Amino acid sequence: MLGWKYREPAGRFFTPAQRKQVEVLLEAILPGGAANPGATDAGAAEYVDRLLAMDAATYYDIPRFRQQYAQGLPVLAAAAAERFGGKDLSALAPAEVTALLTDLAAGKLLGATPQSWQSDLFATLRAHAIEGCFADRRWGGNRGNVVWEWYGYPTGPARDFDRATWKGPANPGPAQPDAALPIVGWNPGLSGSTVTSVKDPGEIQSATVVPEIAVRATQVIDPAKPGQPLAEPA
Amino acid sequence: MRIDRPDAIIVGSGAGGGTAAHVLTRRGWNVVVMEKGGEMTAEDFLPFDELHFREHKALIPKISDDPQIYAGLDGTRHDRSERWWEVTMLGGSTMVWDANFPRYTPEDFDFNAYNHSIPDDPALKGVSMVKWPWSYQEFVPYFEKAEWDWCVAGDARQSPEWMRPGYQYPMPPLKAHASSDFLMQTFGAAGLQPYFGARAINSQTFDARPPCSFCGYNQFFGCAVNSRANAVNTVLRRARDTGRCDIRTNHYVTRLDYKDGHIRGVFYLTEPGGREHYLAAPKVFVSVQTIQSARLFLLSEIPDPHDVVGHYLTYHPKGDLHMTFPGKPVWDMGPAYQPRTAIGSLQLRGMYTYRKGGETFKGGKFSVYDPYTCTTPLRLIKGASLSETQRNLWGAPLVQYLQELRSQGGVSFSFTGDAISAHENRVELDQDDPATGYRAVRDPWGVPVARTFYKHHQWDLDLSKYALTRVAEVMADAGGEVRKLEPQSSANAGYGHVHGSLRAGADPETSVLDTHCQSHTVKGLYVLDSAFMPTAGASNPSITLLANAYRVCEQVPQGTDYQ
Repeated sequence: MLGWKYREPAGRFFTPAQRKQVEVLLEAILPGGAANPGATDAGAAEYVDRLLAMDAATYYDIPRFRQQYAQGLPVLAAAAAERFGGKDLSALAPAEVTALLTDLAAGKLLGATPQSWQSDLFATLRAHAIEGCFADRRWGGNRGNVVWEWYGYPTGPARDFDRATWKGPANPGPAQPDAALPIVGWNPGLSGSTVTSVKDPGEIQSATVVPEIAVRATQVIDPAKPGQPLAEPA
Repeated sequence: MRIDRPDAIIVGSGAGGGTAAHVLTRRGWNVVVMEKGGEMTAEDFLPFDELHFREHKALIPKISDDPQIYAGLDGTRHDRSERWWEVTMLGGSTMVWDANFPRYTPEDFDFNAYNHSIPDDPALKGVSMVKWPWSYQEFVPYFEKAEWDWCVAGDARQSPEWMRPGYQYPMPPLKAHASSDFLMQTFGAAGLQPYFGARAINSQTFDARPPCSFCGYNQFFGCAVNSRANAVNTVLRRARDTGRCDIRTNHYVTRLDYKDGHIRGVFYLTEPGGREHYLAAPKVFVSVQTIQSARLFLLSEIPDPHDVVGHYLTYHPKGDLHMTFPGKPVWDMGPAYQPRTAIGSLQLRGMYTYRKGGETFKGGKFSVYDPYTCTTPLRLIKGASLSETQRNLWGAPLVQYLQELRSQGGVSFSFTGDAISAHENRVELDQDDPATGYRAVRDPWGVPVARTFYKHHQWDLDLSKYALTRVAEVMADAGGEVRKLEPQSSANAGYGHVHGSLRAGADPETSVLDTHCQSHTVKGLYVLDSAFMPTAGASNPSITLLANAYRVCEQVPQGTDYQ
């Protein structure tokens, strides 16, 4: 009845700059170490980039994910710049990203956006980092089976991982998306379930400045309840 | 096989509906089975892909356009809730079940024999615990029929569930999980009655279906090789072969038609926005899941003079416990045991009833798994925790958790306990609220969805916590450390086994169905899903639901000669 088959999307969602930011965030959630592969090794950002370029028929929550990333990356980038002396989000040190995400998870980042919006965004990032490492390779993550082999799934046994001698995944696929692929951006002028395909990445960056977030960023914070705005915008 | 004037219409093709089709056609009836969903075959459950099938919830109704509404603890909310165990396809939820087949036992038929008084919970009024109007012994022959027709693997001789002397299941048990020897010994010594539970999964070639391949995709996935029993590959197959069973998929029954206290037929839709059709029959059997069957009664305005329809809904209190064993390697996977993509099958029954302070109480049972080998990774890791307070792991703690999983033995326990029934816990239709401007949610066919009101009684919460703690203590004595201990919480938006919304009983003032599971107010209308259960019981309800369907359908008179 469903006849389901994975189909790679014709485009990708993020601009190259956004893609680097996503990589840094996912790596902080599932960090690679000397003895374990992490989100970057697995290509988790490629997984998200592909997922968001699919439509609601693949999964009804994809339009919501798109909106979260489109609104969330500028907020996180602004927070990074403010807190770490103008640094770009993608250039932060792991401890800095961890500090940023800790506040996001607790809803305390910037204090300007609603708490639940922040924790929801964090939940999505966390889910996507895990999916990018542990979902089947057909979805674009778990590159070269690197995470499953280390974890010992499905048939094991778990193999040790040694970063010093690791030569990268056996079947890595592209580290960065093919520059020729069209980029599917989020267009706030359209309803969440509709996307436009845009050729010029610059066009998308301008589209991701979301008026709603700008409004929230100017809200007054109650000093007794840091992290919570005095009132939700109507 | 087109049948235009059936002896009975069966609404729903899952556990109850499939069984009705089998039993009634064998008795010579002509039946029409109306199934809201389409037909899927084993191949449709490939490829093995956790993200597609489980995370993207490909096999259940979409919460985005076909949710259930939960009223919250205060009864005022309209939260959309996932319908995790409702599968709209031929075979219904049997297509994704875990196929755990423990019977309800004499204890479940009479809760009050154990708990002489239930402490008052001011937050939940209208408590009503009743004795079932049948005995376990009456059910025994039907349990046995169901276990043979539905192809159960197990060993009755070691089962602490009451078995007729000399009785045996049709197949030997599945291979044991590699942790079983250790757990049998530890729990045996602690008096917690470990045993290998019955599963409706082939342990060898049987009934023209292959043995389980241990692919690791069991609960919530479809079986891609038909080694797990479902309604389609067992009872519906036999019903079809009789030539007396007309199975109509994509037929959504939206209303039951009755007049002067007798059923006459059903109204149905075949597509969203399509026109309503009608089919007449002197008998209608409804089995579309506990909440949905109550919804169909409400949509059909089945007379309810005593305000019982939809009430006494119960969810089993659940509880999750994960342990890890420092210094113990991951379970050794010898060929005599289940492979690393395992499904488990160990059960603990030592707390089905338990003594405390000189009194005996009704409790519950545990299904025992190994999280690392029995749970697919996305589900497991998203729910990762290192302690009761360290949850939703990420960063270094998540890596620590993963290192532990891949290097040392673990055990997880899933608790199923009895529940307190209360009039307040109920199913309603979602309705407009002019005061707030709220508009009722309608499904894609335009029919109002169900809204549930549910609070677990304090007794449920105490039981879940007590049972989990007891097992955690036994495991700690054996060297284990707790990684997750999550007892049931008061709110239940819709996860778990459901029962009771169309309670059966002898007294029309306190029940919806009579002891033959026929409506007290509309003769010829029967209900076969777990809605009939007078109280929740404390085991996975499938086999007891099936036994009851055999009992009802073997006794129901043909034609309009009502009981």
